[in-house]
Amino acid sequence: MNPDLSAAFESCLEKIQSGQTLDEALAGETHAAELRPLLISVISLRLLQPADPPPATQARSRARFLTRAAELNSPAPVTPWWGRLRLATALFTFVVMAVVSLVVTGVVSSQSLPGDFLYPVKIQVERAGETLTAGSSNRLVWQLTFDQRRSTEVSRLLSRGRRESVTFAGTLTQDAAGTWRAADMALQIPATLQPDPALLGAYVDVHGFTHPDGYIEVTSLALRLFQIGGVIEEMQSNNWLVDSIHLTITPQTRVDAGLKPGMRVEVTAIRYAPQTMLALSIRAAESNASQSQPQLTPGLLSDQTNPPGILPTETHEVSETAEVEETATEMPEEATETAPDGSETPDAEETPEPQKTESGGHSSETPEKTDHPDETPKSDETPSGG
Amino acid sequence: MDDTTLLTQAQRLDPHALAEIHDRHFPAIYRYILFRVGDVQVSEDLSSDVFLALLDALKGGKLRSGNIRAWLLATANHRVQDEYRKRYHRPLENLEDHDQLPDGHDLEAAADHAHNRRRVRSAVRKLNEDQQHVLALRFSQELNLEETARALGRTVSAVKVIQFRAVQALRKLLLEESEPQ
Repeated sequence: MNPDLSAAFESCLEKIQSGQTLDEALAGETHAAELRPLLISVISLRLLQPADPPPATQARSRARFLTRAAELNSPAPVTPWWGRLRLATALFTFVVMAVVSLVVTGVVSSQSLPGDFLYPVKIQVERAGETLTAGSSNRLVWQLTFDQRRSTEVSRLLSRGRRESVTFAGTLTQDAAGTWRAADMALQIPATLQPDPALLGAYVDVHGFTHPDGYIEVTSLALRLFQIGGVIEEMQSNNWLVDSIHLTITPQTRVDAGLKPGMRVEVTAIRYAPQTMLALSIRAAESNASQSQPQLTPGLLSDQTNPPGILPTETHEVSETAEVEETATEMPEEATETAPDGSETPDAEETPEPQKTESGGHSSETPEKTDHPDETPKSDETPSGG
Repeated sequence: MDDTTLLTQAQRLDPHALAEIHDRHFPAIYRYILFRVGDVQVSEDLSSDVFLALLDALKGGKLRSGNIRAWLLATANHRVQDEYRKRYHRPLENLEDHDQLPDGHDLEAAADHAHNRRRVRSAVRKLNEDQQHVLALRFSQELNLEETARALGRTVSAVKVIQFRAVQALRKLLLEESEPQ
């Protein structure tokens, strides 16, 4: 923009606005030829010169303006004090009733036993708590606690002589009279379900009915498979640490090639004797899958058949289940041969309660990892412990 | 009563102060909007809306100090732009159709006058927003450069540049409209 031209334009514009004609304003201007058409354009804007608003228009706007101001200025409608009191009372009563009912339901349900009206509430509350728990080791502790509760409930049913359908978990033992026991409760197992002696010391899920005479009529018995997902923290020859859970590795354990500390893995394990978590397979998690290829341990591909009457607990991971079904039935026997302490099949008397944990130390002191709550067995014969 | 005192009272929604503000500024706002849109009914509605917006600003504490007139003119500019956008998306009516013929017995002269006015308005509407705003402030309100700069929140130099380019563009548009189709 030419500053001289702009200044001359402004000067002429002021003259025109003060009432001079176009020719008078341009008189003596050196840029007159350029300024004239511009000033004509400005003068043409006078065609758009608006008139003042009609009085009626202004009056209408004024009335609307002041009415709105009065509305804004008026205080908000106030609920009388007795109305507020009534509302507050109703709200308070509602809150108190809700809290009391929740507390009462929670307390009552926590004391309930299988077959009681509020027992499903108790189970759902427990599952909700477990679902909110992060980390395999933490979930293992939760499951351990719940298993303890289930066995306590069954014990109470037995002491009361009630007959109810029950599901619980515990270490399988056998007393001097040859009676099978789980969580230290006597089991009456049909001939078709008789477990292999090699299962002594294994952690199993039991489903059946409490009998007034103080034992459990077993309808299914399943080896508990633990699915553990986590990062490898340590790798020693036969002892790995995954997500703070110690795992015993045997020659039969399927281990993906190329695993190293820091990698995320998915482990299927069984608990054998209260202090040993035996890994059946350790696979790289999906995020690591491309880095390693599965390597099968030949020892697991033997022709052993399933011990009669025992089924591995199913999981929701179909491919994993298929693999586990093959290996789990073999592991108890193999495990007895490779127990960390070098002993053969553990004696029942030497088997502490499965829920008991010890702080510090190795895998044997780590609480069990269980299936996720939604990994309830699909078969009616193999209900989970939760 | 000066603007500062008026504003202080208006912030309390004092009806006398509010009435004073309305009476003092409504004609200017109405003229500004009429210059931009050329329709008396739309001008009345938009002007009234501008003052209702002022109440909201006062109530909400958004107008604590400053030039009430500048605030009203800026708000009027926004309302006009909104109106243009509305019409762009929903072109139900043509503003020129509402041009009022001047009183008088010379209908031919009146028709020429109306035609020229439509031509100028059509050209003005083709300018950019800033240019339209400056021309409206300068020629509907007769604001001088300093007042226009204050209303725009810009420097006098910036206003001069905008104004000069607006007039150049207007000249070009008017010439184009004069050429036979």
